[in-house]
Amino acid sequence: MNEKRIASQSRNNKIKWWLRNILCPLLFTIISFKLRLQDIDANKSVVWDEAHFGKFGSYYIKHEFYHDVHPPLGKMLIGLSEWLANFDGNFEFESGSTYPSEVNYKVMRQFNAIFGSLCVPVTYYTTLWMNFKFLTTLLITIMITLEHSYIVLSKFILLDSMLLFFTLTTFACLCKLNSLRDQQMTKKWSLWLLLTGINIGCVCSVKWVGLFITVIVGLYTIIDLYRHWCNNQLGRLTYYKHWLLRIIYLITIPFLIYLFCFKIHFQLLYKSGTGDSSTNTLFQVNLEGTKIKQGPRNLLFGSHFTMRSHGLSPNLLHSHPQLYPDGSHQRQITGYAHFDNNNVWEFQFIRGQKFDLGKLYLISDGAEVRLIHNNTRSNLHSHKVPSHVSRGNWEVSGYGNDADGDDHDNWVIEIVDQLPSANPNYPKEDDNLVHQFSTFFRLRHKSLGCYLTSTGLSYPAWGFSQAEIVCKNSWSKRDKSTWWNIEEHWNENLSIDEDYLPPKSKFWTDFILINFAMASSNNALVPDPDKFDSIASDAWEWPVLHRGLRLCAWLKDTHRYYLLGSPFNTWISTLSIFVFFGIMIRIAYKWRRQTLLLTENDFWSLLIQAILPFCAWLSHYLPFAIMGRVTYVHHYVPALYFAILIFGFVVDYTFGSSRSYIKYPVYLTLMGGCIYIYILFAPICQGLQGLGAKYLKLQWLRTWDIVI
Amino acid sequence: MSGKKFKGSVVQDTPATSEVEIKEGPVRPYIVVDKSVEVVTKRTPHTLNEKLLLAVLIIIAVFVRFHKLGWPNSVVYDENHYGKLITKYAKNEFFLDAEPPMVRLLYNLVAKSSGYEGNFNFNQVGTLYTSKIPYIVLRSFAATLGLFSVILTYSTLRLSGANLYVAFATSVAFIFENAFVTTSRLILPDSPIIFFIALAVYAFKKSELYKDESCASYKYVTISAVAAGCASSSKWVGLCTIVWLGLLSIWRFTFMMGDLTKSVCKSVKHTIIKGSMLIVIPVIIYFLSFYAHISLMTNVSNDSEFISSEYKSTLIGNDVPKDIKVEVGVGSSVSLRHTGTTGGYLHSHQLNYPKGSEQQEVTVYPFVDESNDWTIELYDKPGEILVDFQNLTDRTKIRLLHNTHCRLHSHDHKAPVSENADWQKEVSCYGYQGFEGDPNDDWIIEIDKDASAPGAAQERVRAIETKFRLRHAMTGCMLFSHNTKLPEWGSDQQEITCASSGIDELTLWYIEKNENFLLPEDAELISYPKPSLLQKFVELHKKMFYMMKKLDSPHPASSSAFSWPTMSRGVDYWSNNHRNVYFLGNATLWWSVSVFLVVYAIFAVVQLLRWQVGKPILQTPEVVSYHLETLEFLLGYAVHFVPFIFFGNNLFISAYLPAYYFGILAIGLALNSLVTITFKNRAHIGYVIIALFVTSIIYFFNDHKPLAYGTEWTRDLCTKSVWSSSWDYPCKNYFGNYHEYKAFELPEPSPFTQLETHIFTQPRNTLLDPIESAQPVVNQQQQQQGQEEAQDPNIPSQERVAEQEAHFDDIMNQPGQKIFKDEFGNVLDPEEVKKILAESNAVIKEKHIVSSN
Repeated sequence: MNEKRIASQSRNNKIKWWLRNILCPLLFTIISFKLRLQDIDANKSVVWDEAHFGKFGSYYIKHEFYHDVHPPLGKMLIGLSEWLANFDGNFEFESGSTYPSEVNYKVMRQFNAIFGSLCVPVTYYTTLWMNFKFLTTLLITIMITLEHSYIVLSKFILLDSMLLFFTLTTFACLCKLNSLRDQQMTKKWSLWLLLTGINIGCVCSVKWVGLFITVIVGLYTIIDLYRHWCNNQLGRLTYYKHWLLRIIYLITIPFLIYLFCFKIHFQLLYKSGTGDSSTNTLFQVNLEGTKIKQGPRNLLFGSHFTMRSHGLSPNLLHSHPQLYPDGSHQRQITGYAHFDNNNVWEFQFIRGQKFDLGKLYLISDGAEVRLIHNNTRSNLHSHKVPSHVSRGNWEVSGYGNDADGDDHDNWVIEIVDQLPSANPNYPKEDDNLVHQFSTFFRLRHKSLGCYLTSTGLSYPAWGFSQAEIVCKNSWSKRDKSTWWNIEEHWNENLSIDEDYLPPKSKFWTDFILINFAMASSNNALVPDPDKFDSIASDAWEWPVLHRGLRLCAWLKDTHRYYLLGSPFNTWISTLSIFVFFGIMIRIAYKWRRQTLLLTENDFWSLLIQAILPFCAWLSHYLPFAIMGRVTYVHHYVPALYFAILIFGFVVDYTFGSSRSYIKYPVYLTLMGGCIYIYILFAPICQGLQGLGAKYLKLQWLRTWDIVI
Repeated sequence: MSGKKFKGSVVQDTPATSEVEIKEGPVRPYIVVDKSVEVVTKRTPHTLNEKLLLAVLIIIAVFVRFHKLGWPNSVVYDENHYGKLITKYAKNEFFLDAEPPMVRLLYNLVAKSSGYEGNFNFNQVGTLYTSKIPYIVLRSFAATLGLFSVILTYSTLRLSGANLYVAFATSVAFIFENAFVTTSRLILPDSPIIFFIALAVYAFKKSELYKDESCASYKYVTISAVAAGCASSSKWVGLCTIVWLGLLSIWRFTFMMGDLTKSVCKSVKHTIIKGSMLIVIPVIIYFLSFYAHISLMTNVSNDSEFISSEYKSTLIGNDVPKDIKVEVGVGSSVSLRHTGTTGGYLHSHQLNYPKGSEQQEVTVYPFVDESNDWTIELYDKPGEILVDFQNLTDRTKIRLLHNTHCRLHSHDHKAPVSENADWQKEVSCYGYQGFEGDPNDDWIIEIDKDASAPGAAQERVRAIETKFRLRHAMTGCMLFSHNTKLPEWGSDQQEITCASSGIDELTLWYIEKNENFLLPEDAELISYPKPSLLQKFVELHKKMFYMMKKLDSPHPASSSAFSWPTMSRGVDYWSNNHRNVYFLGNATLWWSVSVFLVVYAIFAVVQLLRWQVGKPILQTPEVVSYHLETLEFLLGYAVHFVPFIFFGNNLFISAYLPAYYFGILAIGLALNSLVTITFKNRAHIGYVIIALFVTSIIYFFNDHKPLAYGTEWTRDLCTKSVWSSSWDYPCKNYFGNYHEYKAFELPEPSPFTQLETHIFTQPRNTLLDPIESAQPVVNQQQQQQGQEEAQDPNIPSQERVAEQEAHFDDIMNQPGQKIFKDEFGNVLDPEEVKKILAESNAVIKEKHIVSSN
């Protein structure tokens, strides 16, 4: 009798386990796939940022080097999807243009939709591991499955669904780790630690936004290590081992993945392309089909050349007719990355130098030179006038002409590094002379003693946002911002040596430079305060769902997609953040009055269920609110996920343990509300068709431009 | 989270007179918030001994802080700026400034009460003071507040638990702090602000001494709120003080919650009341200060060009048109004013764009001028002879004819300055006499009903009341202007473009002047509505924020907030007569504070961690009290320092002083802990250390005081005193020995102040002027640069902005319009200039720029 009961109970448990861990998530995954793959090819034109990311993907097919603000993993995956779709790269992905019949965009979109769809099971397991009540797990999973903005972003060739997927997996791993916190140092635990590290690496290699979830993992790790530190039973050695494991898995492995992505990126993109000018000279000349022509090896007085900074903003020394608006009011000297006639300079003797006409003089280490800008004929000049953007440096200007000038036009060449040719048979060159490509030198101002420097900052509008060039008192020879090299060189008196192969660039240098270039292009995405930008939105608008975003042309006979969070999910999750504060204050109050005794387990469960999701929401939201970059609705996508988790906590905390005649109606109402709102608003993510008038009822706010 | 226990013995050992009372709770011990009577008595000065000590302190402070207040007898650093503003108050002139008005109102009050009439010219740094300005009285005012700050420092430290000798020693250190000595003897805002902040700190600490519900507690919170309000009405940093007070209230509240002997309801009630007092009272004071500011500025001036016509029309002597015919119709001769900027009127003149279409320029011009007049024509009937008056309704298609016979025109050319913005196109004036125009001259009136006055103005165009946009009929873009200046070829006037996606505010226009011969004599008239005080308040703030944004360009004397704790650089205040005034902190104290902050932070973290793992730490009530009090001051330091890291690009090291003040208070407590904790049983050792510390501070002061007082020094001593190579005071200014000073004659103020007169051959839109005046350091620097350039042969003279002397007659013979301005930018009559030239040794300086080609 008793055995029978136990047997039936264990069978019941088994069924329950199957139901909870396999069947239920499977069901949600199927629904999720269905919703995200449905009519995926209905809109036959290039939608929203497919114009960017589709194009970036195609560069991997064509192997052309490009430059973008995001790390390469996401775009390489898109490239992979294009390769799977047998795409030959011959489509420009122009915004709004129709896909030609030979481009199988459906496969590309389906590939992307997989990431979006898999977010649902990940969410399911996350909430299980967070130890929520089963009803809460169901509620949250339904909300994520039916979130309009997630669905619509999964349908197109974009980075958002990948970013969301990896963010979710990272957080899921963290929750799993937390549930295993009493089994640390076991194999299972190490495996999950490794998985966490891999996911951090992936999420950061898709977009830098991934750093925000990394911060959360870091926060958890610090608290966890702190717990061990407090544990007197733990030996010092074991404690250090805890540290070591986390450093390896959570810092080294992600970084290696990030590095590896760039390695592949450089390997794949070996041809010259649109992104050349954001890199240094050596990288560019080693690209197939480079636009940089080889000139004579040695530079002479009278040579024409362009020179590029070797600092973190690899720009060419540039000047143009415009003057500085204040300071000396002389001609501007800037750094400009792209090919332009105004980059060309000429080496001249300093004034008063005696020389024989017709004789050739080489530019050597220590040579005193004057640099003349070829188009404006002004001299590169510096004086004790403060620089315009950076502090504590002197202005560099273009002054005078061939005849007029003074000794503030004189500069001294200081060679700092010579690289050997990539051709091993090429004879060694004189280290005392300046050569094209391979010589790095500094230019010291003769009377001030400062060095020509690219600061990495940009001039305001009057300087066309070009890079700032100053004369800086540089104390270290290793200060790369003062290093320059000759990029192009023209001299009719010398012949070109065809045997010469320029040195290969170093991966490490390229990696650092490309990351700085990404940062500076990202910072350059600042909105014009005078311009009305109908698609950009401010951070405050997202949690209140003030505005949506039209993803494509608003024509009657196309499937139109509108990016807008589910009103149910967004509003209720925003509201729950306030309730969350209330709950936290209540707990703190009770704890302070010593009426609530928090056990250690209580603390950890509070941490993973409430505090970490809240921190994650904050870290995914606040940076966008603070930074000056132009922001869009889809930047709220990861933060929304955490807001929904907070909502889950609030419901779980408030109703999870209440009597069933309260609990069930509450949960059912919430689930029903979510489903109802999804159905009501389904067209915005499954495609609005036909006349706008029939969607008038969805126009809840005046600012939503669903119809007009 | 797991409640680690205090050592039980601590609780038992707690004597009644100890600094804080710790009681055992059901789970863990807690701190009793209310202070015992003994503590209250202990922290209030009452003994004769202490009163004597205080008297000695005051005597030292008077001696140090009031020493030679009359020297330098010329304008030092920002005295120039504040002096100019006081002068403007005295003349009741309108002006714009980037700071709230409290400090200058106070100085104005002092100046007025000692009879200043506003007739001293604050030329530039180094201008000799004359008897016209009671500068010594003004400086005494600053010094008096400085003296009060010393007393407050002492009292605050006593309130925080320091014993009287330590408090005395720290206050002496504060007296001899060079930076405070320098700033508190000049007509600068620093001394009042430090005083207000010190008062707020003192009063709040005092309020904490009493029971929450007591009258005394409320009294001191009120005083604290008033002081914080005054600080915020002086500079924005005062807001940090309010934030600090708020944080302190919350911090205290959490302790009240933890104190099981206290009733929650009462705690909540008192905290909420006091918290709201800390917000409401400062707001009221802030408003009052602006009320006084606005009511003092009654006359028009140059700055009033940059405010709205509504505001300007309330100023005495304004030239804002009034009694304008309200109905605008076809054939009206109108002037259009831009609303989004204070740039002024739609304007055109006989100059052509050098690029783009090379047609006639259209700009926004701030002054009333005939070239702002445009005649409205219907697009299909240009040049028609009119017989009937016809209103302009929404969507009317018009052309605008300028009195140079061209019409407002736009086409597909790049904008003249914003050439990178593809959403902006050039707007020009195109046509000639007899030409009827082309479709690119057509503009559609679009009335903005929300922005227009309710009623008829929303239906048809009425002067002033109707706000409308002008849409270019051919391309659909809007007539647009923004705060972007054309270069010299456009006379520095504001750019106008046709924008397809400009923000709404910048495309809005209205009609100010309106003449139409078809309207009857008795037609309805309109004037600008008078703005309310609140509207004026809001407008002044918009301007303040705008000016602060414009101050962003870096300045040689400015420094980054990160460099302040190390005092890597000071600021040159004044260099004249072979003497210097240089803002330099007392390195001994300054660096001690910085080091202490770092050390304490590490110490506190380590202690906290040790305590968490159950290791015993010093937990006597003295220690707990010490940490709690120190943390409050450290919070004060952080709140007054961290915002500067994030905001404001053009900062000066003097902005560090409030944070530094909190640092000094914290170090005072640290010194106290030496006596009471570290060397508890051998207090004499602690006192010796403190004495050595204070002596070394006085030594540094003594070593560097010529920089604070601007007195004689020798070059050698100066060079020796440079501890860090980045302290850039010019030692070469000093003579080699003191004898040379005896031979050197100091200049006496002459009856005429030297007048520097700029002339401009083109009328200039001078929006930059108020901004320059808001940052007087610029002037000072220019002056210094001038000196340097004269000495430094390396810099060729022809390559900088040259200000050449010119002769009056030569100028008058040159073609073009001439505007004479004195050094403040006031426009002078040519006859007046002639008179001044004849009477004094003034010179005219012609400002022009030598370009390099």
